[in-house]
Amino acid sequence: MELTTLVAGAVAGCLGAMLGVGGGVLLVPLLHVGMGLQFSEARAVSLVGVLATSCSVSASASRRLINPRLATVLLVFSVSGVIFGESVRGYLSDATLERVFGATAALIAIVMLGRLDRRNVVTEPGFSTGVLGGRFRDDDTGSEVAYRLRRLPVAAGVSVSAGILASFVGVGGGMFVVPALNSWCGVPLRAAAATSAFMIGVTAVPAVLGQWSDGHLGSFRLAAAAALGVLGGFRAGQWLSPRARVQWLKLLMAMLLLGVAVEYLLLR
Amino acid sequence: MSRLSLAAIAALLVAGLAAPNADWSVQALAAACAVLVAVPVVNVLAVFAEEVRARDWPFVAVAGAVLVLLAYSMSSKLW
Repeated sequence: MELTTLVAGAVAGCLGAMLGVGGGVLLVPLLHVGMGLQFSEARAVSLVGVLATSCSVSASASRRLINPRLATVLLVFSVSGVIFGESVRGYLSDATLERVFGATAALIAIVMLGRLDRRNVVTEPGFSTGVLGGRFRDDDTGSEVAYRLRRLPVAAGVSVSAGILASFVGVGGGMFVVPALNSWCGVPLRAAAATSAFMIGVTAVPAVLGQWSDGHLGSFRLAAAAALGVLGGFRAGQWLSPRARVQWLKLLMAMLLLGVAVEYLLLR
Repeated sequence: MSRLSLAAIAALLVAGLAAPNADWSVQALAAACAVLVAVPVVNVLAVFAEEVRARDWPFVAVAGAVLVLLAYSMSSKLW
């Protein structure tokens, strides 16, 4: 079981490096449906995997893409979401939460599929990024690009939702934050992914502590296997990421979200 | 966070998983998990310190608010 968890963690880490998701969206179904763990255990193990993804980003070259100011502003909302989620988690059934999760995943996948060709970057040297925008060198074009944050209330709302979902279902929320920042708020995918990876680690901290204090982390062995897999998978994803086009990354993410939606809305 | 720290976490995880019957196995895994939890908090502290250095007080307040929220959630779960 530990070896399977390690492999699942590696796949999750690879996706985390390429898409800025923590991998919880993959780990939870694999551990819960595939390996027969209780949902609460799968949720706890997944959150440790999310932490490993976030730590990997902190130590990688991708950290130059992190927008720390935007991340910090959104963390006020996502951490508040976790705290709220932890306080009400015990009152809701897992079946209800899984359906909400599936419906949200489907909605975001549809939005991403509808915006595959959209780019949010501007290459004009004098472009004003605003307080929460940023600049970085785009590997796709080889030039420096800039972006400006739009619709902050939307980003804040999605961050609260991501925090609540981290508590409820054990995902870091990257699968919601990355598409929202990219599709609705004008942040390029790679910057959205790196910023989200920074955020999901912080968001996962209260959720992991909640799972640990409830006794769902057990002897740490499965959590450790998942974390170790994530650390290795992240390196592989880093190698693959510059070789993949943004459009393909978006398509891959949309397919991933649709798969999760089908699992939780139709198959369970 | 340096690559050295990441390597230390990986070493703790490998050691703990490779020696399941050793007395220190669970402690090694717990230590690795504790470091994984600590790293994001340290990252926010670093952002807070950077904003203080830049004297950008609105963002000092925002980063401080995140730290307060984390402290509240940790204290409510650990004690």
